Amino acid sequence: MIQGCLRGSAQHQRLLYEQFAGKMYAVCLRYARAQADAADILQEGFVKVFTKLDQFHFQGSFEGWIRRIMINTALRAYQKQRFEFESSGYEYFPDAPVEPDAIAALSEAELLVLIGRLPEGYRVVFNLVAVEGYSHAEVAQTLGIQESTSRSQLTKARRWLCEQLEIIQKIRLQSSLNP
Amino acid sequence: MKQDSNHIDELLRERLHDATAPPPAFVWPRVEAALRKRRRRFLFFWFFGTGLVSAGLLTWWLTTNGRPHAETIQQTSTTAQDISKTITAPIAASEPAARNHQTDAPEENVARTDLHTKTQAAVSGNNDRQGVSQKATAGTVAVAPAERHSDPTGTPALAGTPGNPEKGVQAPLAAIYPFPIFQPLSSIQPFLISKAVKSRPAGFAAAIPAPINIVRNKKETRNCYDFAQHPNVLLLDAYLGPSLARKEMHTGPDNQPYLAQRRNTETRDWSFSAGLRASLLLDRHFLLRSGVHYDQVNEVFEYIDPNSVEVTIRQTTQIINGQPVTVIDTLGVEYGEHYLKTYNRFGMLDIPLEAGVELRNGRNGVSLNGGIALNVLFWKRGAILSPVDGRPAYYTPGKGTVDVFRANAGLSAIGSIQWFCHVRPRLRVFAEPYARVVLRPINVPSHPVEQRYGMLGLNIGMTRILD
Repeated sequence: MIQGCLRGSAQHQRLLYEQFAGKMYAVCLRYARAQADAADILQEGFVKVFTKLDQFHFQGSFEGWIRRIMINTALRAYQKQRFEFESSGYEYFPDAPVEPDAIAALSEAELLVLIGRLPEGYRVVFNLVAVEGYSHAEVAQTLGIQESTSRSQLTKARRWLCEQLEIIQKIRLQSSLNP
Repeated sequence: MKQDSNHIDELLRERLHDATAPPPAFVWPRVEAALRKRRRRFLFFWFFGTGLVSAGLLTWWLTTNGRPHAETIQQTSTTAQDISKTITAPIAASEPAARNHQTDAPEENVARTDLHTKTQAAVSGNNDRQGVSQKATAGTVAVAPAERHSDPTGTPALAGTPGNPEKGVQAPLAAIYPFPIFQPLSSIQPFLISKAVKSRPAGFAAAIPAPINIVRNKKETRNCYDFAQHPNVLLLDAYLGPSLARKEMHTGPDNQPYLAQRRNTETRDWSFSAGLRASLLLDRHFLLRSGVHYDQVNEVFEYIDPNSVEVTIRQTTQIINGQPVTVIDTLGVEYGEHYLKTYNRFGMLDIPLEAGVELRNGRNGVSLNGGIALNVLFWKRGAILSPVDGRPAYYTPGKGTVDVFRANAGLSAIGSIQWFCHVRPRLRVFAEPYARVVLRPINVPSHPVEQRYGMLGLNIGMTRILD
């Protein structure tokens, strides 16, 4: 399939897209502010995948290579936009315990929506550190921020998520008691 | 990597790392469009770059090899006295003189170039020892007599090396071609020289001092147009010719059966192209061309359904008890084979915009051209298998049942090589093989099969030169 794409075969490009588009769209949704932005990132990312495919040397995971391109594309989009939007003002989040069931009860789509509602800076840091496994040093270098800022934003993102999950739990509990 | 692990991180990572979400349907067409745009840009720059490099190379070639002083001058003589004559006319005017000599003594042709003149000094010492008189001045061509020795085998040899023609030739060659660029040429010179010397009469026993010349036949000037007098002229072309279209069809994995059915039912047929074109010739060699070009792609669509059932019905409206009632009667049912054959046609009327370079040699010449063609009219007639039910459906606009093709074919990349011959000074005939690639698919985006075209053809036509 990769060889076909390298030859410029539209059929193979379509096959490759269909194989990876779902996963990569989920990645884009985690980084984008809205679904429209995620679609733009997915489009731009796949164009890069097809045009830079000759740079993939068949070493390591191909999916990982595509994922990296998507994340880089999303980060570039984030860096373009981050000066255009004001901070959402989340500064204080109470500590709250997270029940594993609270996350398990949510579908992937709901979790993606939840992540998508994270304030801009928190969302990017949380995705990079918590989901992708980047170090704070790498995040700081990638985003051009201090490591301490990265740590702070991750902490705030966690608190925000905990709060939201608690709210969701309460709503579910109430709806189960009053069907 | 992981420095700041947390329980919620792990829970979310497990759920989100391999999460999937159905992407919006519009993303893939956009990706395809972006890739096509990049490909078009690449093609454009490739054509443009190639054309630019070709034009540069041809310009260099014309300026270095096409100058008048490098033209070949033919000299004919039968005796040593004739050859010893020094032609003092300017080189540009020396061609008529050469022609006169040819008329007087047609037995022998020895061609010389001014390269010979430039290198006379290098060999003059050798010639002086043999009593050879030479006279060479700037802007003149000196044709010198020389003694020639013959070896016992009858092979003529140059003076200074009796009996050994190769040595006699090789020594002056090294002096004549001191520059490295001429060194490869020296390997073929002995053959040229010996051929030229052999053609002389036996009584002519003079050695020729390094007659290193490339023999080039004199240009045929009959029916030629004087482009030197008119370097910028307008050319009007009319042409017509056969062509063959190459169709490429692609689709996703879900529609492969439909694509296979289409490939089975559609076959290409001979096509044709025609056009009217105006070309502006600039500085004798450079062309800007535009006009109207028509390409018609013909295909045959054949459909066979061996298990066809045809039901003939009659629908009538009757008034029964004062109420209108529609009555449908089955008149007959036929079982058999359904065969349908249509000739599909795609006509593309375009405005080409091309740039080119023209090279001439006497009556004949070639031109290399490349550019783009802007589609102004795209009409289509015919039938294909419907993507809905796999049965024949017409796509003819206004009458068809399926919407398959775009209203406009868009841009095409075109290139051609034209060979022409002047039948009169202002009239040429030409043959022009051409290639054309329609840059985007001709189908609408909603159609499951992406259909692209490229054409190869040969145009035959005539050109009228207008001052």
